[in-house]
Amino acid sequence: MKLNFILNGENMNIDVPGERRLLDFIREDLHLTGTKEGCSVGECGACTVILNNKAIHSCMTVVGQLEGGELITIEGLEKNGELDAIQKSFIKKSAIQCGFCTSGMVMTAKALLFSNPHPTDEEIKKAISGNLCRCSGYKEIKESIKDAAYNSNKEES
Amino acid sequence: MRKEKDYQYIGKELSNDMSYGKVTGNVKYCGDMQSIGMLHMKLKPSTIAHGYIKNIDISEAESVEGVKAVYTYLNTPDTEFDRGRVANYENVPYQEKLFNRHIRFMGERVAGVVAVSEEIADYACQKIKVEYEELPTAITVEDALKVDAVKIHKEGNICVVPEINYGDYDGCVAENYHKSKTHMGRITHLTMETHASRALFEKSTGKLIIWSPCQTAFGIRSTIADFFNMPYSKVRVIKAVMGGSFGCKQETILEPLTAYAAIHLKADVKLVFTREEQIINTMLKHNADITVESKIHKDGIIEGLSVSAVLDSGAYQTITPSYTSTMGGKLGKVYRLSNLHYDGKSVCTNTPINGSFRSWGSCEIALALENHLNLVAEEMKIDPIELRLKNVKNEYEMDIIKKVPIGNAHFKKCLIQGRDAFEWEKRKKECEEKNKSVRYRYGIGMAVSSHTSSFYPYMVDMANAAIHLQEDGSLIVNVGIHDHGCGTVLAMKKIAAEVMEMDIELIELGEVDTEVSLYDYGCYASRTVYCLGNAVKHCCEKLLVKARTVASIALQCNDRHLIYEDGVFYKENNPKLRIDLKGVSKYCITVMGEDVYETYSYNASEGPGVPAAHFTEVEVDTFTGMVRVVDCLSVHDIGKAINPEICRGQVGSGIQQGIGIALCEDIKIHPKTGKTLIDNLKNYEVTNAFDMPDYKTIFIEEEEENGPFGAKSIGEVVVVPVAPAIVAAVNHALGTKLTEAPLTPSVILEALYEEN
Amino acid sequence: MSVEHVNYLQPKTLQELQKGLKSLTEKSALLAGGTDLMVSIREKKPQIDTYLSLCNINEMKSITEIDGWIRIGAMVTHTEAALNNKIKTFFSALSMACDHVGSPQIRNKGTIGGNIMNANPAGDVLPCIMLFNGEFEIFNSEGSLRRISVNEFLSESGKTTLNKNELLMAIWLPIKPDKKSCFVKLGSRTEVTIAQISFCLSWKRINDEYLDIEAYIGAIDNKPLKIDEINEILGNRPFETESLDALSTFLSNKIRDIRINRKRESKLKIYEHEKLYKERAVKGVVYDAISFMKY
Repeated sequence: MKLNFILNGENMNIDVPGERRLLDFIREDLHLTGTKEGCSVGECGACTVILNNKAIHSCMTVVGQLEGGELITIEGLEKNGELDAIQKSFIKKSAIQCGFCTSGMVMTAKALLFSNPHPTDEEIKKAISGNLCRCSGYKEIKESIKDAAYNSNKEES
Repeated sequence: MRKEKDYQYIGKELSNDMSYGKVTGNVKYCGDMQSIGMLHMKLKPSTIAHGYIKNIDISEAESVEGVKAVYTYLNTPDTEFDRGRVANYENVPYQEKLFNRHIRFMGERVAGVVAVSEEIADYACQKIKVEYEELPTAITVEDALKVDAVKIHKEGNICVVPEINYGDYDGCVAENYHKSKTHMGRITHLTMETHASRALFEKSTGKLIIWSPCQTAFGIRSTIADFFNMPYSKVRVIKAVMGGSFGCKQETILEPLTAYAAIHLKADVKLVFTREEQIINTMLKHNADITVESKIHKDGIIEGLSVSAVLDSGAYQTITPSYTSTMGGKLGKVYRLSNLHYDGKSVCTNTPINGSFRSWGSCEIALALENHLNLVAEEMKIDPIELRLKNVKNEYEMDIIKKVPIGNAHFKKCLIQGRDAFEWEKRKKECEEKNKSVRYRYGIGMAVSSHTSSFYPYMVDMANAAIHLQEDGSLIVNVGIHDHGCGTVLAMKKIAAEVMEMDIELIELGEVDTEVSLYDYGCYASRTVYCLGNAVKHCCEKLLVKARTVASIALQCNDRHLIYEDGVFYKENNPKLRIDLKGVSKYCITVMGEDVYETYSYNASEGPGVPAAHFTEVEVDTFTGMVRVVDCLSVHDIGKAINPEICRGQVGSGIQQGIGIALCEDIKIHPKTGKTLIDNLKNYEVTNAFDMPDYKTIFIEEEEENGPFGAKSIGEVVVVPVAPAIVAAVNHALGTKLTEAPLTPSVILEALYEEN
Repeated sequence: MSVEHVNYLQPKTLQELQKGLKSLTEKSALLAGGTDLMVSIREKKPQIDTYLSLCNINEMKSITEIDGWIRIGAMVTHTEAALNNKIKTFFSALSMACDHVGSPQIRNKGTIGGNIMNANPAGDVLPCIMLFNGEFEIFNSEGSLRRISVNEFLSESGKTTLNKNELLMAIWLPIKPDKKSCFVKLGSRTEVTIAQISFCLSWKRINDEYLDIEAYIGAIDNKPLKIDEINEILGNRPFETESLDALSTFLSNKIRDIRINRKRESKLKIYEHEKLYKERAVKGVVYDAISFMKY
């Protein structure tokens, strides 16, 4: 299937089986291994990417569903050597331990801030309810997202 | 040496090692590794719980385009190995093979396919046809203990571990006698990264290279090299970045398979387990039944304790006999005991293998013992904290089993500070008030426990460091470290940076590569910071001594007249006379004809205890049986928190797993068929970010004098007291005497219905 | 031998859709959001000959008000349904249900139509559609559209009656401005959980009187069950302990009867107390659901 979509800000024109799992396409065909496979059934959030501004599981998506859309993976956040506000906050707030859940968490947080730049604690909790982290009690992660929201809004104003 | 008030790194917040790489998705875990021509392995699971392979037809699978090999018991060596073996002198059960004809649990691998892609390997696996000759099963421990139970291994199903006896439990006397039995279910470690292994046969050199997220690269090397009869020097094991372990990646599970395929095909082979495979085909935390009996004086002093443990090892004994034995050893760490008895059994069943879990037995013992003491407190109408205060050890008292002092360990401080911070008495009263309502009941509970910071005296605990000053003044540190993702590499770097008084960014510290690293037994027993940290610290100090000598020669003065500060040696009465570390290196190399490096072997002669107490308040919905942790507090005697923020993160992880053990995580195995009913995360409803309660942490930092900067350990003990505290809180809320885990909603409603 | 070839169709127009539907066999799969299909493919590994992907059919993606009805395209995601003002206002039970299906990522991709067609007994959407007397717009491979009731859509066994060349295009819900509704789900945790019991309720409130109370209970049988007796049981005093307990007992008995008569053993329930759980826990669901009527 011939597909046209935007990946991390760049136009893509590819020919790939439409039913190919998006996670495999990203990791194996595009060699972007930042997106992880944690459970393959949409329960852990490690494979989260952003499609048309919404956080989705790439393990539950096929490449055909990208058509005409815009896909962002973790690799697409850093721009010109500058980390995204969320990435900076995760580093600052010690929210990274083993790191395996990190890219999924960051993408979910990014999607949250797209639609809700001023999330409450409750909204943050709910937004990451589908992203599992076994190395922490989610405290540092929630604080990072709050911090990132604060800093992003500060920059804008 | 800097004073504590001048510390730049120890106790300061710094982001974890490799943070930048992890937050950008650039760090490569084992499963991310890709290379041209890499082959992929997939395994075919059995569909029976016990039996023999009568016939296995791989012809169709072999004919699939892209398949390079199909392995079964028919075309692989019959050699036995043991996943738990770390060193070649260890006495271990040796029950496993690459592929067996005798299948012992549902899901056990019966064949492996290596192909050019995972998809093709998976497709070919489905084309393999297997016929079984089924045998009777022993799915539960009860089944396996029966006199006429089927023998899962020729040596039988039961391994009895040596008893521990101290004093005379049977003969001792006290006014009160209590008995309780605790049952604990299985959980999955649920590391976000599943198991993975990559093996490459390097055609140019005949070397085998293995990448694995592991806790003992040297252990893997020993097993693989012995299995394939290769010199250890020709097997190179590189620890890959680890996406969490909690014990499940400390055993040699996937590596023999990838190694075999790599050697046989002279290729680069990767095997990445799915979540289902991680649950069924690696290891689970043991299910156990532990009976505790105690003789207690009416004032609450414990006269004697007798503990009897039965652990389910799953289909292969692997480390379970050792685990069961070690559990008994934990009994000497917390309470003052004059009389103690411990006996344990490890029982094989036709179910997935159980294995190492965070704290290696401390969790299981704490659940049983703390459950018991909480019930005793209730029966004897003594406040549970008071009961503990009467019986816990004081600092430096002896561990009666290991016969070493527990070090600067503050059980009482943990209990008292925790009680005060948690407002224990106030909450007790508030619960009474709140419990006047019909639907929701509130309760508080607590537990105290400990763990260790080294292997000593269980075995010699040696850690080695080699530190090499580079020509520009930067530093390369070589220490046999396996970071689980919990910040131990960062801790080592901080220690080095603090001692050397240099910028931490100038320090490079890699994880174990058996080809270049000095030997390390493995990163378990929470020994990394204490032992490896000490090795790094002492080695840096030794390096500074050498550097000082070189500096004194270069500056032509007595080394006692030199002051060292922030990477520079200068003469105390003439600061203009100075040389930095770059200068030291240059002088030493060009003038003295030597390089600047040192090595140090640290031997632990202590195993400092790490008291930990957990306090929790729960709300029980008596209509639905749902238990919610309202609030909780973890108190840890950590010695010194080198990475305080990451340590707090670890506390959170311990609480998450403790809640799981106590309330909601249960890998159910069907008692008749042996099928693993929960084989993925659907229906395994681990506490997520929404349900995770708010929690507080208190670190008691009374430095352990032999610890690096006073540090002890925290990585495992964080989970230990959590589950028993929760069980106690539920019992307090409901007025019940429940001693099983997990207390799922249906268990709670059952208990309430029985009460009525 | 190699991996079998698969057709992937992603039509953009109704004409292309019709053509695609015509080509489907028993081994074909309709791809809506994919959140159920992808899991099922992984578990069962069926041989699929054709995927028919619906993500480009605009007629299936909109939410519109037409002649006193709301038409919800089958490809509307749970997130879209949960946030839609019309659905929140007139069909809050559906909005609440959609807001708690799976995780945010699942809600962003999973569709109303997909959820309904999957016909999982624990599905959250269907009880709400039934509560509102919804109708189903069906498109077939001849290009014709028809609207059918729930009874025509669902078989006795709880599966849908559509054949392989038919497709659910949209759901139609009649607007009843004076009716309020709510949805409650009991799972093993608060968020991201499969329903053990789901319960949706609608009522009319005139001053302090509660009239025309309707309710469906889901996840206790192979399809959602209507609770005809609810008005009678709750009477005029829906918030009193006596009424709530009476309703709880009634439902508990119903659940118990279903359990006793069930021919197929539940795969995951191995302990006796697990099998008895729903009939014991329904009390909590009743209390939680009825409490919404106060607002």
